[in-house]
Amino acid sequence: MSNVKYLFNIYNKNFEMPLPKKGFKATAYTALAIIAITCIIVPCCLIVGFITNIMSQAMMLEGSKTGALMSEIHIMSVFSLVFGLFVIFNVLYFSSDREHLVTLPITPTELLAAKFRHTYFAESLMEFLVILSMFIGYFIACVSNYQTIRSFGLISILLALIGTFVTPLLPLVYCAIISMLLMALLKNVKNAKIFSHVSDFFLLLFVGLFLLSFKDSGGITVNNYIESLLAENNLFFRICNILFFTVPLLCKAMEAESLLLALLYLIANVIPVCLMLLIGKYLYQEGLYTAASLGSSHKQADVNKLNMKLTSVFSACFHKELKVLLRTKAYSNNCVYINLLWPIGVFLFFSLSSKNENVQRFRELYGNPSYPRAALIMMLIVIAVSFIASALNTLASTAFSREGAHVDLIKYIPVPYSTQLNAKILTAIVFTYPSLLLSIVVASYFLNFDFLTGLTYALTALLAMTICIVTGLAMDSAAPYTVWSDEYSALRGNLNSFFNMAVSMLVAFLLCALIFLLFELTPASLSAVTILVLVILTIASILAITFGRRIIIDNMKELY
Amino acid sequence: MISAKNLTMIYGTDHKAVDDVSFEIGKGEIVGFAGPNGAGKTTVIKMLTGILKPVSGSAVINGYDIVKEPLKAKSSFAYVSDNPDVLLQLTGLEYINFIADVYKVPTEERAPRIKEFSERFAIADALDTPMREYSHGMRQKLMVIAALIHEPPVWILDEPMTGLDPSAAFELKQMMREHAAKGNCVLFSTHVLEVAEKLCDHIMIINHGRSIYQGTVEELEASYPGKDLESVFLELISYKKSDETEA
Repeated sequence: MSNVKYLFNIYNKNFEMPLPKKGFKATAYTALAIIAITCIIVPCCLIVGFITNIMSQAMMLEGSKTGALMSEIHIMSVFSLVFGLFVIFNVLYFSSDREHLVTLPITPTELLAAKFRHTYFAESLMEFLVILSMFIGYFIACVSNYQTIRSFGLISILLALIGTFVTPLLPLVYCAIISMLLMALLKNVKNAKIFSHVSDFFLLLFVGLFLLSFKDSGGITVNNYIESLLAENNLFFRICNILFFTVPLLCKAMEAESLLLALLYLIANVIPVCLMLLIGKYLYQEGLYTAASLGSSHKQADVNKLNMKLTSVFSACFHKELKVLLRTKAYSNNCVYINLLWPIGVFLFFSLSSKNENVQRFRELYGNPSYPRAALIMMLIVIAVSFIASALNTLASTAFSREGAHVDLIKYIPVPYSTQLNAKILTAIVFTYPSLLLSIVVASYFLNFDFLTGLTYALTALLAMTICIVTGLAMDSAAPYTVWSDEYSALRGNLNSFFNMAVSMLVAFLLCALIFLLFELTPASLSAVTILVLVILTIASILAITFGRRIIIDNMKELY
Repeated sequence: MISAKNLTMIYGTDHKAVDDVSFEIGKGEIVGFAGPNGAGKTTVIKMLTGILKPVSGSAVINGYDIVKEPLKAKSSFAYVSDNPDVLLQLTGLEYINFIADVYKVPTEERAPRIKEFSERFAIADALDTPMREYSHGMRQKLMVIAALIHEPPVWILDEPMTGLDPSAAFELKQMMREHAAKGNCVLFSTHVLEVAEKLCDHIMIINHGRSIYQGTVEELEASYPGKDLESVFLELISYKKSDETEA
């Protein structure tokens, strides 16, 4: 199996995004990496560990030692399955290296094993840290609850370390098996669109299942969640127990400190991998043939009837951006449709928490002018969401990377860099701002705020989004990731989007902290603080547009 | 129409890809640009088209300096790059229309041109199909059509024959001759010396970033009596290589 090792090493090298090695850009990227670690990875791990700890303590009091841990690993596994499916689909069947690799004297099983191994490590790095945080949260809860370090033993610790790395394996194995089976089943359909909608189907299925499992218990609340776990009657988690059967095994082995169960857990993880390779032996090559012969229906064009109207240069550039985004599944899912999460999320939050006392209390206080702090918190949420939503969709932070190997098109067409940049900025705005506006409209329905307040939120969101978009574009223009094997790699292998998210979170946090402290420590009224927020954001936006654009255009001149 | 003076390009800190290359291409000329892989042909072309900024020297296209007046210079040439895999999400026609919009080609002019070019290159039936589904040759044909849609005076083509079928290659050579006959100029890079021999008024040979020959094919062959162009080319490159090694 040395071929697997060679291929794996090559994939790893090819996956690395080239970063500036010298000068200001190299220093800036190092600083951004530190910000990313402190603003994304550390807070994420702390939050996950904290939630696990709190929930574990609550459930330990009721006699369930690992129930909370198990439920969280299940949720993580569902995420891995849903989002890993499209990644595995692309890696196994639609990467641009496919036609070169299949001509090499390597077996399909070796190719499958190498691609799977690379994807497993590349996709699971963050997951490893999050799962490790869960285990740490769990162990702290054990000590707090049982008041003794002996509440867990060496086997538990070893299993936690192994589980950290092994837990993401099973969902990804499922993704690979589903991909190969689908390719085999749909061999005669030969339409790429059907394949690319499978991950959407699984996402809807699991979200629907999760929501359905809380239908009879009066909505999703922490209490209902814990009660349903203790009663073991939650449909979602019952299905997860069967689907991700290694997780209950892991938890039982940790709970019982059983070496036998620990061995069973390891074997239970090896069997699906072997099954995947066995299926791959018979189906992967056929799937590659199918993938190579896919295509949409060919239309016979009549050159006399085709649209050949002149449009403006800006419009041509803008429409080019839109078409590329909407017609590429990786981009449309991760950059465009992801924006729908925010209005849907706001709606679900208020709908499903209608019986939650804390949310009810907040809604009451929000409408009460005697408690302006509630309105201030809402303003802070608008700012934070605007920054995070604009960074999360990566529209700006991958705008130049998405051009791929032909980024030099920007250089040789006779279009001013400013015009091309404006088209990219507008594209990011067009897909980000409507979702923010819609979220505000949905929130206004539940919180009953007036038009002027809504307008203030809309303006705040616009300004925060503008700053974030210009920052993302500046980052991506400095060192775009243009040599990738498939479009999905342009997004997932792109450190610019990760760094942009970190910077956005940091700026949002600092801004919100400043506003909150200003309100708490000075006699300034809510109106005064709101005006100040708008002034700060307006100045920051003007600065971003003025200087940021200049930096981006200078970077565009250096692209090749 | 194309004037390159002392063009030099350094990648990174010390890799001199092009070293002091100068040439002039006048009206009505077809010039072939030859050299081994990695000689610096594409780097010179990228400097001419504004993709790379020369470390020193200048490039003037149709009277406009590519660095000082980039938009006017860029409007004066058609460029076909060595890789036709660009914007594959668009249909063939959408890509041509995008390029035509960028060069502000009026509707009444572009429609007959698209019709004529697509029929000459036998790709008219596929114009409404996404380029992702095109073969390499079809993409190359489309790149050529899109590049020529604004009928610029200067054509700069980086290995344009690669992937073209014989009839499309013949059409392109024919179009190059027609274009030059109208008083315009064509610069194209190629590895096929027979094409250069039959088509070009002049050839330029570059090796290790330096220009090692500029002149007509006849003059080159005359200086190496009894040898065909291929042998002359190989000798020239190996001589220069050993010359440099000794130095």
